[in-house]
Amino acid sequence: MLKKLIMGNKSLTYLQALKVIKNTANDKSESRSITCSVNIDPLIHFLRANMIQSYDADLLISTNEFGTLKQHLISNTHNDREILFLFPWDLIESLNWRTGITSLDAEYQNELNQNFQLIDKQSFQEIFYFSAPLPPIFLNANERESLTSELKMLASKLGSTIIDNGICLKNFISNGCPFDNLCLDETAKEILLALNISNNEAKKIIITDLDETFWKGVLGEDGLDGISAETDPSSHIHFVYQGYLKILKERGILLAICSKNDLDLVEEALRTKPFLVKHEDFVAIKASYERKSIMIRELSKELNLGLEHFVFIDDNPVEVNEILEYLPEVNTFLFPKDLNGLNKIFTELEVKVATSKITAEDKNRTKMYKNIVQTSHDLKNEIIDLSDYLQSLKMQVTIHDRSKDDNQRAIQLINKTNQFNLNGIRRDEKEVLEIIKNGGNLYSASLSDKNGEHGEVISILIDSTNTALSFVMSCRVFQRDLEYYFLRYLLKNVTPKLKIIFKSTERNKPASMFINKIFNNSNDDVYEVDLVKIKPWDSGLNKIFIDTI
Amino acid sequence: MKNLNALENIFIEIFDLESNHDISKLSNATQKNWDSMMQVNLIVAVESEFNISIDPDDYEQFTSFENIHQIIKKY
Repeated sequence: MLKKLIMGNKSLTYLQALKVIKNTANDKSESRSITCSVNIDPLIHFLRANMIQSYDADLLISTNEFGTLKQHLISNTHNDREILFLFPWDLIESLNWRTGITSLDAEYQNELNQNFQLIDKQSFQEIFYFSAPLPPIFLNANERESLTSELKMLASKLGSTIIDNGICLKNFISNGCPFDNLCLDETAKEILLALNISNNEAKKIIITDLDETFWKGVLGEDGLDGISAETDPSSHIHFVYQGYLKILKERGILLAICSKNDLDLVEEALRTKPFLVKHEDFVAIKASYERKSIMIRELSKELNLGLEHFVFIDDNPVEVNEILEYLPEVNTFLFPKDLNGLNKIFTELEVKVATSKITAEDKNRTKMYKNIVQTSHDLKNEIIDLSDYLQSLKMQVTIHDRSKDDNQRAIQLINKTNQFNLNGIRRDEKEVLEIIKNGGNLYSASLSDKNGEHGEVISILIDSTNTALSFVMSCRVFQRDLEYYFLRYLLKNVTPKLKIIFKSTERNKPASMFINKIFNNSNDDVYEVDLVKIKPWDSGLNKIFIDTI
Repeated sequence: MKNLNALENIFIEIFDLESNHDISKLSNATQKNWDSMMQVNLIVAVESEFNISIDPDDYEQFTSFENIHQIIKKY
């Protein structure tokens, strides 16, 4: 849909782009800053014009001064609306055509590693790597090719979108703008597509069918020996598909199965067959003869994850249509017959699941959500008394003061959380640091339980007047009373009274319920809490947790 | 003639001129905001509108409306 929206727009010339910008009467706008070592002024016009055409909103872009990339990176004051444009010479200086052809510095690998580390530790909304040609400073073509690939690989590790086309050395030498003037529109469209601006429905989970999708063959009919996903021509497409699923899983995308099969047979197949994606890579396996729409809806509830975050892939058009009809929020794909079709799905998915950086939380996401599914099953099947259940989880909380450093995850939570978010206000790193600088504090907490680590899941930003400007908690730890415990801890140890700014949003019902539980109403207002109000609930809050501060 | 009109349009848009402005005599000596940035914009606009790739040797001649008109004729 998004691709169609952007790429479907007519190609613009420079004057047409100027006219689109001039004629827009829309006050809606998004702002971004682009950090780079080059002149991008001509490109900015095309970015703005395409943004206006596709989203009916202007894109206000600021940039750093020409040639100040390194200083900007070292200053380390970036925000989540900042985009980084990288070129080969930003990673190895002797690859810069503008400084003339010099021999490759003997220490270039060190330089490359240092620059990689410098960028890797920072957070950008998106990084674009423009794979410009390397100057002729190599002994042979193989050496050049090898470094070109190495640079691309490192850029990929940084989470970059790689752009191979539209580079123009002639322009770069003459005016510092490295883009081909005839490809500016296409380059701008490619960038906007990857930025995925205004996408509030990022896909978080891929639900895959099994027979003739995840593997070649029909398990129930052909048995274990009749299914495969290997490099032989007949099942190669399934082998490639599994490889891609595995990569998505490593990026923090959840994988689940929804198949009309016998569960025991599916489990046996996943445990015994040498597939690229293993049994443990799936957050949940739904294998039964129920309607798939029912299975997926159930999974959505178990994971506490909205259906808008789901992608469903199945080779059976009937199943795909059923999901389209009953669960229209789910993004569906019909598994194709050949690799060309599969590549189209990959291209579309790359945009929908795009992320700029893979955090430790992302890598552990499958494990964490598995715990949620397990917990949900436990709740449904065995536990009646919540207090006993919570105690049985043997939860441990570690409170962190993130006011000084190591605050990336705490700030990320403020900017990602929708449901348990007391006011829905996003605050970028710069704003948070400013509040801290003016006497505020940022606290967070990590949670672990008998099932494993949940990571840093709750965060609060308090200003110098003891007003909680942001208070957010990840949905994966709902119904554990962590929010009460966390507040109690702060009221006991940090400040005896805390003002909380509550504002209802379209999606913060859980936060509204929290406010309502304490104050018996949940109007938009500033509430004051103390230890009397945040009392230990029936679950025996204080008995549940052990601090490891 | 078609090229001439198109080039006039480029100048009107880039330098934000009135449509009745006498563009034919315009040069970087007479037009106040014709700086290095505008020079880049002019080149982008000419390449983009005429779908041509101008030789960098010709960039130096991008100093007046007339010169640019002559350059375009070469492509």
